[in-house]
Amino acid sequence: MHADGVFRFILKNLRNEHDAQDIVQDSFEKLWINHKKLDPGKAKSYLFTTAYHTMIDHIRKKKHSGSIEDIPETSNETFRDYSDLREILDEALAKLNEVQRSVVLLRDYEGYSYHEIGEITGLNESQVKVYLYRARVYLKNYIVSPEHVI
Amino acid sequence: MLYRMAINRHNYEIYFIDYHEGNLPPDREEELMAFLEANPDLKKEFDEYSEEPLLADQKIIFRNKKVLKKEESTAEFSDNDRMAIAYLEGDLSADAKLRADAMLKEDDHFQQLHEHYLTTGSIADYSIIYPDKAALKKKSNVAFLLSPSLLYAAAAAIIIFIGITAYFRFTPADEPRMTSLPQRLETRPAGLIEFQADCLVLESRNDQPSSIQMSWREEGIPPVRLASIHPLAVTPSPQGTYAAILFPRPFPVSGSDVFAMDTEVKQKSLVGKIFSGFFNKASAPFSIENKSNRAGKSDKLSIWDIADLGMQGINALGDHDYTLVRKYNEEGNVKGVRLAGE
Repeated sequence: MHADGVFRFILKNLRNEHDAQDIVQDSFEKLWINHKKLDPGKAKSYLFTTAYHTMIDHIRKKKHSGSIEDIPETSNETFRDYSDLREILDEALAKLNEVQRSVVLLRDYEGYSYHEIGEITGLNESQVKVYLYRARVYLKNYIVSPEHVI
Repeated sequence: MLYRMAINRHNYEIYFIDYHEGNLPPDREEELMAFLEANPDLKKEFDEYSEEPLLADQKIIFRNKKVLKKEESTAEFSDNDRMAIAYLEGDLSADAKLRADAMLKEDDHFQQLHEHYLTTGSIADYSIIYPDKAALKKKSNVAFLLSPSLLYAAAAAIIIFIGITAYFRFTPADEPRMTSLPQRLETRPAGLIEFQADCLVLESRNDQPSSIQMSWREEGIPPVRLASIHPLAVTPSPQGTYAAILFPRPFPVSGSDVFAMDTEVKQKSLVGKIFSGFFNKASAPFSIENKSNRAGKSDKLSIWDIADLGMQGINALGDHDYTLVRKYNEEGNVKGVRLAGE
């Protein structure tokens, strides 16, 4: 059962439990519909792929309807009191675009290879690598910036 | 190649262009000048071509250049960054990894960078779990129920289940019954001799009541109008065979008569009549695999054992004596079932 992994991945991206649950349910529904065509070993990858694309569609619809607001910049909140590195990292992750964030989460949470991440996100391996590298640099710069140093 | 032909009025434009762009060879330049002298009407065209080219209108500008710019999210993307990330991701070749290992020992800056990148690794929060996994499980439609024979089987199973339930639910094991069937009593039952009953004959067979309705009374209630128990043995004794036979006329019960105990319930009820009516019409084919066959039963509880038990319950409800008769195919396997009785 990969429901938890998919749920964590989507929830971390959307930060909305209800929407994340809906996407997990949709993904499983599609899995059931297509399960006869699928190699059983690919079920997890299929779930993540379906969930990722459903999430991207969801984000685009929400952005189009204006129900997703850009995350407010907090850089002016200098020397904010952070107690936990994870808290800062979560905040930094939230500031990445959805593709970069997804690539990082698929790599870190699920340990997918560049090739597998490419299959899930529809990117080629070079693009995955570039997204991942840029995301890492952004996260590092965010974490080590003076206002975020614990 | 362009100058394969001498200049003439059909190809002079090539010479003009090349001359003004400085690409015309000297020998061809002499040829061009001779041509212009021979064709003065083209001299003006030659001179105009030499004027300044048209210039773009510099006043026309694209104002919103900002939207064309793509901001690089990475302010700093040095070789060291690249190496530190690749080291973290395991992307380095063996040689590069050796270099990186050496840098980690010797280069404080690289070591610090490496530590910073280590902190960018996200760790899943395993306390987050999907709350309703049961909802994700496939609730398949039972397509095989569409099979007519299995529909029969399902209906029969439901009825048999109700019958089994009824068997245990409505069969009191310790209630004394009037019966027309002789039954051997091992001991003369105490406590049942003194009671009195009102009986109403519902059906008779061969002038003998076969079905009665009666209400039991405890001791002390006014005498009955009808009831009689006849011992089958010539001489009543504590150990012997007794029969309860009812007559359709008032008859006082003797205080010393014995009512036979009969644990085989003989009751009619509306539910029982409905069941019996249904089963009198039902004869279901079964295509399901069953190991029971003509040769004998398995030592395990089979579907037929359950069906027989259910039928006993239905008999108890309906005061009937139905049995399930199995139909066998040539291989001796059960292929259908028929209700028999009455």
